[in-house]
This record gives sequence, C-alpha cells and structure tokens, in this order.
Amino acid sequence: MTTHEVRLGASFYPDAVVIVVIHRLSHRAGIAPRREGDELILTIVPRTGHNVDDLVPDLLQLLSDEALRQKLDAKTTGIRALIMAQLFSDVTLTKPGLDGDPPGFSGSM
Amino acid sequence: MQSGLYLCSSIAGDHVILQRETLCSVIDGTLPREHQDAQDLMAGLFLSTDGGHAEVDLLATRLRTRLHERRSLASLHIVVATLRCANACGYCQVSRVHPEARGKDLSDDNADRTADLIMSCPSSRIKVEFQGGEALLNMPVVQRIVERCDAAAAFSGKLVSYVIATSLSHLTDANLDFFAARQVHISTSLDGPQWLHDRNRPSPTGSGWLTTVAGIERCRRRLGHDCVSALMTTARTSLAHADAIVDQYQELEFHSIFLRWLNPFGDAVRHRQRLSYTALEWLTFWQRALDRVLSWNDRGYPMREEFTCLLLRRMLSPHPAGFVDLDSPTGSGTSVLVYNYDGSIYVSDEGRMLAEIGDQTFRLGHVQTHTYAQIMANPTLRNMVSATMLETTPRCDRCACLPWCGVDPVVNHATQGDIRGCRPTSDHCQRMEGAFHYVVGLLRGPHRDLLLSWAAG
Repeated sequence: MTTHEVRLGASFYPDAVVIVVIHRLSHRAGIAPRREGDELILTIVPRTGHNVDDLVPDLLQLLSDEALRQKLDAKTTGIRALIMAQLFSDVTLTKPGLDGDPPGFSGSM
Repeated sequence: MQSGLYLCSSIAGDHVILQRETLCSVIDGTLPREHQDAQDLMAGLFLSTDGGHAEVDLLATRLRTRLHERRSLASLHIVVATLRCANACGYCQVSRVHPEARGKDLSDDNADRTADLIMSCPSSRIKVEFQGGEALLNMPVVQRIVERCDAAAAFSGKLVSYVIATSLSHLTDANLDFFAARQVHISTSLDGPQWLHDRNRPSPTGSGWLTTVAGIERCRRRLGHDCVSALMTTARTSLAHADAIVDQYQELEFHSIFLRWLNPFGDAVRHRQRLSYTALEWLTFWQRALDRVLSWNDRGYPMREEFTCLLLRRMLSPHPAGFVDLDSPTGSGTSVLVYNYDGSIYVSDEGRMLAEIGDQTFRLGHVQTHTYAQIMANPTLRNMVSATMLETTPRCDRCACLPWCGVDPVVNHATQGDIRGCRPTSDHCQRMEGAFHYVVGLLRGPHRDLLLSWAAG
C-alpha cells in the first residue's frame, strides 16, 4: 500500500474545508487529516487505479477552491436566509412598511 | 471548470463564468463597477445595485416561480400494456418475455382501473405513454384505456395526450387508423445505422432496422411527419460511431435525436461486461454527437439533441425538465407514475424495471386497491421526496449545478444501495456535471442563439 503525506499551513484550512475536500475525493483516495502545531498533515492512500501524482494537484486546487467558497458562504449566508424567508413571506421583509404591516417577519413564517 | 474558470450560479439559477481573480474580487467586495463582468453580475442579481432590497425580492420571486412549477403532480402516466416482445435487445431494461408467454398482459379489468386512476390525478394536462414489452401486442387494452380516458376528459375538461413506444414491428393499418383518430404520437427506437441497430436489437424476423424504418415511413404518411419521433440507446458498440448515428437520423429526415445512456437494469446489468461503459465514456460520445448535430445546423439542416434541450430548459427557464434525472426533489412518483402489466403501481419506469429483477422497493400499490391519494401518501414516496432535496445532499449543496440538477433515487438505490446516494462515486453526478459544464461552454460560443432557441422549446 502506497501512502503519501501533504503538509500545509493549518491556519488556511479550517476543519470544514478539509472535511468537504476529503469527501469530494473519497472515490479516488482515502485521506486522513491531523494537525501538528501550525501544520495540517494529510495522509493520502490512493484507491486502486488512482495515482498520487495526479491526486495531489487536485487536492491542493480543491482545498484552495473550498477555502474561497467558505469565505463566500460567510458573507452570503445571511442574505440567503433572507431570500428563503422572503420566499415564504406575505410581506416585503426588506421594506415592511410598503405592505402596511409592522416591521419584522410575518405570521406566515 | 477548466482553464482557471469558475462557474457561479445564483439561488434562482442564473449563471456567470468568472476568472478566479475576478471571483476573489467579488468575494472581497473590491470589484470595480466598471469591470467588464460587473454588469453581468448585476444583471444576474449576483451583485446588488441598491443595497440589496430589490435583489432579495426578485430572487425570492424567481425561486418561488421555479418551486411553484414543481407542484404539478403526476402529469406523466406510463402504462405497461404487456411485457411480451419479439425482439431480443441485449440491453433490454424491462426484462421482456417471449411473444407467446401468458400472464404478462394488462387485463381489461386492471386497464379500466388504471384509466380511472390516471384521470383522478389533479393535473389538468395529462400525458399517457404506453410501453412494453411491445405495446402493439396488446393493442385492445391500449384502445380501451385511450377511449376511457377520452370519455373522462370530455367530462372533466382535462387535456390528455397519448404516446405509444413501439418498435413498429407489429404495426397494422387498423392501428394507424386508431392513432390518427385519437392523435396518438409514435415513439420508436432507432440506434443508428442498420448494422448497429440490428446488432443491438436482434429481431427474429430479419433486420429490425428495415422494419422500423419502413414503419416510420408508414406512420409519417398516415399521421404526419412530426407524429413520429425516435430515440437511441447507447451501447458500448455505439461509442465509436457518434457521427454515423447522428448522420443516420439526418438521412431519415429526423430533426431531433435523443442520445440516451444505458440504465443499470434488466439485461443491461446481466450483460454489463459486454455493454456497459463509464460516465466519462458516455460524455465523450455525447459531446461528439452533439457537435455533429450542431454542424448539421451550420449546414442549414435544423436538428436538436433532446438531452441538451432538457439541460438548457433547466438552466434558462423556471420550468421543470420533465425528466426524472433533473428533478429536485425527485419527480419519480410525483410527476410520473408507472402502471405495470399486473396492475402494480411504481414510482417510475426505473422502479418497475427494478421490480422485474426482484426488488419491489418502489412499488406504491395496486390499481385495484389504492386511490390516488393513498398512492401519494405512500411512506416510500414521502421518504424519496425528503431524501432528494439536493440542497440537503453532501456535495450537491456546494455544486454550481445545484439549481439545475436533479437525482433519481431509484438509480441511486440500484447502484449504491441507498436512495440518497453518494455523489463522489455517482455516475449520475459525473455525467450531469460534465454535461452542464459542456453546455455552459457552448453558450459562450457561436451556437449561443441556436441553443437559446432549443431552450425555448
């Protein structure tokens, strides 16, 4: 069994990012994460037919993309929740006065 | 996507393609308004112009429209008139039986109850599709159901249309008279050139291709050119012949082709060593065939690829594709129901295919014992719906194709042993993501206007 270790700066990749990427690559490799000091260490065990030389660049790209995605999510989760609330609301939540209703969420929530 | 490009989609299904640098600027809030992508981002409601108030309302309205369309229940009803069929297709997914076999036809009694159930569903527009086996081998039951549905429609005001899936090998003039009188559309199978079709679909009476092509001509003469459509199933042998398959359709004056992959049921599973292929191999085949279809359009011959049309409709309109692989939550059981030859009711064609190989997981009831309301309240169906909201599915929840994609829980169950499924090992996921990315790329190219016309229907 061939294994390979990738060492990265731990602060760039929170657990949520690492877990998503491990799941995403689970058809190509088993990946075991651990943290040692300032390092994130990923032990990669490629599945049959998959090559670690192909895996590592994809792993790094996915980690980078997922970190970007987390940053986006942190900024947009609130607005997404508001859109979903608006979807089920009878009143305009961003400008409640327009509908003649008091501010805040309506009773239809 | 490839080449450092990122596909970004909104909650309402709009999309843009961005360079990584631009995407980072958007996330950081530093993209200048005069940037060439800023206008597209504002038009797609990715960026706000007035503090976000108008965008929230608009996005909620668009999302509400998309979801509202999913409320139309069971508009497609598939009736398996018989399992009997003379052909011996290597990839038969329905486990057909010999034409002389007994006990494999829908009975008159069950046919009447089937028609009554179909007409009791709340949809105002209903499509009834007759399948087999070879549906023409039980034509009296087909006629019985059409007449009973039409009688009920005259009373209720519902619009009912009919399609019969047939190899055309048992077509008679009396059949054609009935189809003409009742406006029954013909759907047949044509895998491509004669040698390929006959290899995939051996017929005991010689060349099935010659029979089908002759049948297509007869139908066109009697019913009109557009009353006959054909679709192909991709076997391993087909993969290297994308151009020849498309060219055959053009030669036979079809203006549409549906490039279908093989589903993992029936003989397709028993013979998988010989017939099957990976999702990636199918994608390569589909891309090549689609390019060929586009090239025929470039040469002045109008032609569409129906799977691409379904993708485009999902991407560019709020309407559901009417295709179980692209519904979220699942359309199996909610937008389609299947009535088998023995009166059993299944969530989809794939559900009854699975039943033919001994797995009754997706059986919802029987026409003699269940009402439409009881079918809809079936715990299996409810479980399927709740398990197929892609927003709650790991990996799908973070995929740019989420607003357009769907999932078939029956295929998940058959291939992964779980109706929710696991995306990283899913052929469906690989196929759909690859297909959406390819179409997104085409929309940025010279065929954009043509593709937009396909989406319009």
